[in-house]
Amino acid sequence: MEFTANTPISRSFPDGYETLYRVSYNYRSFALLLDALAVKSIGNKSVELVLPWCIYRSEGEEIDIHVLRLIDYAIALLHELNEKINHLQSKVYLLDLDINRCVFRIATEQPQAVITTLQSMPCPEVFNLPQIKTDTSNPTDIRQQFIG
Amino acid sequence: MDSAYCIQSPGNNVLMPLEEEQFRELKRAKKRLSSAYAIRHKFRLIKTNYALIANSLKSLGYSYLTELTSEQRQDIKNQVNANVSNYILSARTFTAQLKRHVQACLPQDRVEVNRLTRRMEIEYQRSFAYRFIDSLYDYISYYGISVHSVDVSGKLSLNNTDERVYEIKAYIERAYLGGPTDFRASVLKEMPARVELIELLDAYMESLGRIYDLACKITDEATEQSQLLLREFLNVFEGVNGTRADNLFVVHSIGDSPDKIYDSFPISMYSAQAEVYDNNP
Repeated sequence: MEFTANTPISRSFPDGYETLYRVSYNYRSFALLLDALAVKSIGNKSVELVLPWCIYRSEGEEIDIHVLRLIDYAIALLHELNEKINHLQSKVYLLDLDINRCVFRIATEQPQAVITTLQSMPCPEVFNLPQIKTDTSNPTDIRQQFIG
Repeated sequence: MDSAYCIQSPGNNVLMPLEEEQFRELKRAKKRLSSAYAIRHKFRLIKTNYALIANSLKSLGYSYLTELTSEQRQDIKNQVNANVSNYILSARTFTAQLKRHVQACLPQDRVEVNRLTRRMEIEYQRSFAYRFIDSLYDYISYYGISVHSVDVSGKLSLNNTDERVYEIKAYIERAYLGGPTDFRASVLKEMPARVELIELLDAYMESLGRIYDLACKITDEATEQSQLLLREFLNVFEGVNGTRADNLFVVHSIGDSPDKIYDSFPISMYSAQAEVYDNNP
């Protein structure tokens, strides 16, 4: 069922990204996906950044309210990341979060330079120790696999 | 005890006597028309329930984009669930009684009724959606739920960069249905990991539409004849009494007093002029 809506007042989804919000029993996940054509034009390599959350749902807090907060933090970090790697012609093409962890995938032709940049950035307080690695697949395949 | 038959309007102000044979003709016509109308009313119920599902799903999708209270969102979820439940129940009410309605219109005709039976069997065999909706009836009437998960996805609108076009998909998931004791085993086995609701309903409506069209075709002649008969009596009533034939009843009374009513049924609601029945469902 299709419906149109202006981007919500409380948050703006970044331009050029599609959104996917999944809801099931005690399960929520949120993803931002860069448009498929844009992904192809950036690069063939993919870097993965995994950030476990260290903020948790308060007692009696609605899961949807909690997740909306996580989305806000994740989008703020997405903007920051894109700014920092812009000069390397790289971009975040997939953001995927649930209540346990937040994953960024970056498309690039210079994975090592991107990793160095990431390592030089301070980790935001809302996350625990991050893990960074190069993916074995290319961004287009990874994006396709994610949609399923 | 003497029987008396008549057509009358409420309040007994105006009354037209009938012979017993005329009473029986009218009773037969009413039986056929009420069955023919029931087929159409119940098909419309299903279609209306579909529209209600669509609206509540859109509201649900929108609710995940805005900050509502938990009660507000729960209300919307309840509405989706109620609408799906109503759809499935109304679909079962339709299919379970369809043959009976057709038989009431054509009491002597086995061949036509068998045609309908055959069509329903074919749809069950050929259409997964038909089998699945049929199985959902037992699941929903026992467990009270239907949708297990939703995806709300958004793309940028092609013409307006501020607007996004969203899509909500609602899923029934095999893992949450349980095992063969919770859901019809043969259908559970053939179903994919998840079934999207609107796709399912659209495919089901195609099958059901074929069944409905056949039922209408089979009963059209009997319906027309019954309406002609009804119209004749209503015309005579108007001619004799000079009043419009609105809201008339056929009454079989016993004994001296016309108040001792043995049987009574309405007829104006089955006339072709009554807007409840038309050829476009």
